[in-house]
Amino acid sequence: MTTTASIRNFIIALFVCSFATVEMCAQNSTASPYSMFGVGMPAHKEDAVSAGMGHASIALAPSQWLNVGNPAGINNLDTLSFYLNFQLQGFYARNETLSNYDGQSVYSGNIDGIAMGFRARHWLAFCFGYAPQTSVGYRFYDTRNIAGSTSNYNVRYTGSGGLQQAYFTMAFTAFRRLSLGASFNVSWGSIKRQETALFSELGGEDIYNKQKYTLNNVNYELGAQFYQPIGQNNFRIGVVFSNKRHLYHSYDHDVSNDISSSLMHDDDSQLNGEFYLPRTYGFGFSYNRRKFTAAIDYRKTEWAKTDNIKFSEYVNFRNNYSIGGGVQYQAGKLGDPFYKRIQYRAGYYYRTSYLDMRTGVIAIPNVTDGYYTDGGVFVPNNGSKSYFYYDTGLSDHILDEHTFTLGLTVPVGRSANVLSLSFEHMERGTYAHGLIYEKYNTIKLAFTVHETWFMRSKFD
Amino acid sequence: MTKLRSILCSLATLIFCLTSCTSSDLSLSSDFADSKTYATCMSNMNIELSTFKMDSVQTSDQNIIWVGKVTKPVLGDIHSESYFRVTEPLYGGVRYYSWLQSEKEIYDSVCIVLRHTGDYQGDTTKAIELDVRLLSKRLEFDKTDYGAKETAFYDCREFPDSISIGTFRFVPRPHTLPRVRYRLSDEWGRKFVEFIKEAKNYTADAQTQRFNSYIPGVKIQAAEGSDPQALLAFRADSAQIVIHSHIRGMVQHRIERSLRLTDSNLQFNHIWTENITKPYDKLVRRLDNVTESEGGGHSVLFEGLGYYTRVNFPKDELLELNGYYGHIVRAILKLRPEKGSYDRREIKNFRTVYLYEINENNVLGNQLYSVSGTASSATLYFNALALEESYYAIDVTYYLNTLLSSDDIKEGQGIVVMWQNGMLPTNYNFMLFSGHSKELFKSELEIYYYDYNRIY
Repeated sequence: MTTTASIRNFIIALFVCSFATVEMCAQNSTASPYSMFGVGMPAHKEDAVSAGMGHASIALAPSQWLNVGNPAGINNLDTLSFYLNFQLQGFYARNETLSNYDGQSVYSGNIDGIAMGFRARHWLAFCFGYAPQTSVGYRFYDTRNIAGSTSNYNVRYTGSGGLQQAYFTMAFTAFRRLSLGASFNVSWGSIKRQETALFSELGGEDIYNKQKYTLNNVNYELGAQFYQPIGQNNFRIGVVFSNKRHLYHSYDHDVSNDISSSLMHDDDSQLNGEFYLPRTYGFGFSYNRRKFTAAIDYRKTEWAKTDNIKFSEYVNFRNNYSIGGGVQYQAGKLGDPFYKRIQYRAGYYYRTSYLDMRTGVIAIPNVTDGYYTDGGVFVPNNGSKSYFYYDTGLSDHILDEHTFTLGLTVPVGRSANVLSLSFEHMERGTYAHGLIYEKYNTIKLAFTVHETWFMRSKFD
Repeated sequence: MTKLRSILCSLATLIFCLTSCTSSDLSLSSDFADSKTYATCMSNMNIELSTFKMDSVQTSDQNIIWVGKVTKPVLGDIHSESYFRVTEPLYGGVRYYSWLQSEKEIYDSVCIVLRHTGDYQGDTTKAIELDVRLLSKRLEFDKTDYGAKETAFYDCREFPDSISIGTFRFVPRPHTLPRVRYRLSDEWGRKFVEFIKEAKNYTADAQTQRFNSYIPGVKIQAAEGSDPQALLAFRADSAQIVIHSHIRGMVQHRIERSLRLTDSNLQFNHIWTENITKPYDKLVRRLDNVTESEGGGHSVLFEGLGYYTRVNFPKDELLELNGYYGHIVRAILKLRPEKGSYDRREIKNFRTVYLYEINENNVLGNQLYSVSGTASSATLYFNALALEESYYAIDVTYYLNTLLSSDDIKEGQGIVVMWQNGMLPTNYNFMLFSGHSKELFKSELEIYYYDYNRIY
């Protein structure tokens, strides 16, 4: 079997493996209780190289690895090579609260992405792959009072799943220094939410309340890059855009206990809401001079306009933005000794929260939409929940992310294959108002294969 | 080799990256998840206690000879006397030797041997005069219904006449379980020895027949004219009538013959009462009930006379729960004994109650089962400092959920409470239960209902 054939088999095996493990992996991509709202926590599509540079990718057009952060970013690939990127991610997270400073420690691993690409013509490049889009993964409990008694019971909340995307990207050279790209994405996945009422602690029966939301649709992403060299300095700017997209969904609700497999099953109810992917746009700037590269990205995501199901009265979605940037240094070039071919990266990434937690607000019933009983209990009309929310000044919670990143790319042997490694330390959240402060240490490991596919042999 | 190593390294990396673990659950405030599900506790369901008479046969309690009298609230004076059949006499443990008589045998004495179980009810400071009597007619055991669930008690409806063969006075001693021996009538003893001597004229089978006619059965009761103030318990398997005699010769040869209980199934106690109060006097048929409101706010459990407490669940209120999207996660029936209705010194006898389903016609169904699938019983939470707060906590979660899921809840479905499991012979434990209609310290049904909120 030729090397090319081996690579092809490897690619097929990877695809089978990745799709078979989509369900399994989806639940391990995050450990954040904040991921329980909407479609989950947005995931990064970029690979480990970008991750090491503060997730900057919009204005990068590498020739050694696949940049999937901008559809136009693959237009600088080597014309003779086929590229394969297989990426794993592992993280160690700590979720801490003021009342539970010991917190919760979570370790998890996942397939973080697979991408393949090649340049079909000198002006045309293709790429296709798989990447997580959002992720849901949490496990916590609260203690609730049993109305009419002094007893309390615990409820455990667990969630898993999220959205994945398979994409096909095409980039071409529109003018000499302008590249355009488009990516067609198929998004699919399911969000599983389980609420377990632990009445066995009171000598009763535990109730398992499971909801599953299955989502899918297709979407697109557009990108452009413009390149301008000035002497030995190379400047590049890039933009990306993807529109808001409604997600088709189906709903499955099942309630069971330890005795009965299904106390209630419902798969035809209409949901009180919809699911959307938000409109996203961003631009980036990069600078390169010989061994040194710097890049910076800005992205804005319009979560506030999505009207996604929130799953909580105390949460609102808001538009957020992110700024990420980093630098890269490589002492040598291909053919130099091993240590000179190592690329070093560092970066910083900041993202504002797309969630507006309102646990500090007071909900006052809207008396025009209901009435009070003689006992002073407010009864909304038609069972609707209608409240005015008064901000106590505590609701402006800082859930923004601060991430420091480091990265390394190591050549494998004498070939152009590389192993990229990135480390991120991210902190997010707050201890105030019963919220969670999260610390993530994430390692991404990407193996990028360069295989010469398109070189015709002159001798048999 | 290098290839294999690479594959193994890749696999190890993949497995390492696809595992996950979580140290513990994180505790958050309930605002965070903002779940629409909720749990409520309902303790105002209108259950109703009532008394019915399940066992109309006034016999009970094999293996224990209960004899004497005790006075109970509501039911008045309860009398008890014990009947049993005895075997042919044993001599040296062998029946055959008993019939090897000698013309020279001389009667010495006859006595009854009893062993007190330590159980008693009533006033034991006064001596109790007991009478041992010989029955005129053989006790017959009604085998037709034996084993059937509803008539599993020893079913003897005829109580034959008897003549006294001796009386004695018994004084229970605290903390002792004495084996006592009381002398009976010498006149009857002599006649019995003469009866033995005549055995030589009969075959072995004929001897058995003669014996059964001569001693059809024995009864122990309080002596006529006495007024016993207590009910005493003796072990039936230890009871025996012993006849002592001897043969004179070069060496005096002593003979001791014992008449023992033949079969524990053939021993029973006859329990009866004379002056039962209203409205319990109306409990004649099995269908009859005395509700808690008719009975002064309580129900009766006295298995000795066949009085049982049943608990009815409110059909309409339970059906109302079916209108919600929820589930009963815990249902506890708190059955409160009425203070003063039982002797707290006997609390060991009251520790556990067993539960059976019962329909509107007072016909027993299956034993109640718990969520775990085991037969349900309930333990008394006994508060020695505040007796009113003692209660049996009966888990009826599984029972009520089964009722609700069947969509066929009938009026009058309920459960019956008893102290002995499996419909075995009854006992003399007595208790009144506070009804739900009482103001304080009442029996009540506590339901924890979980609404799982169908629409999200």
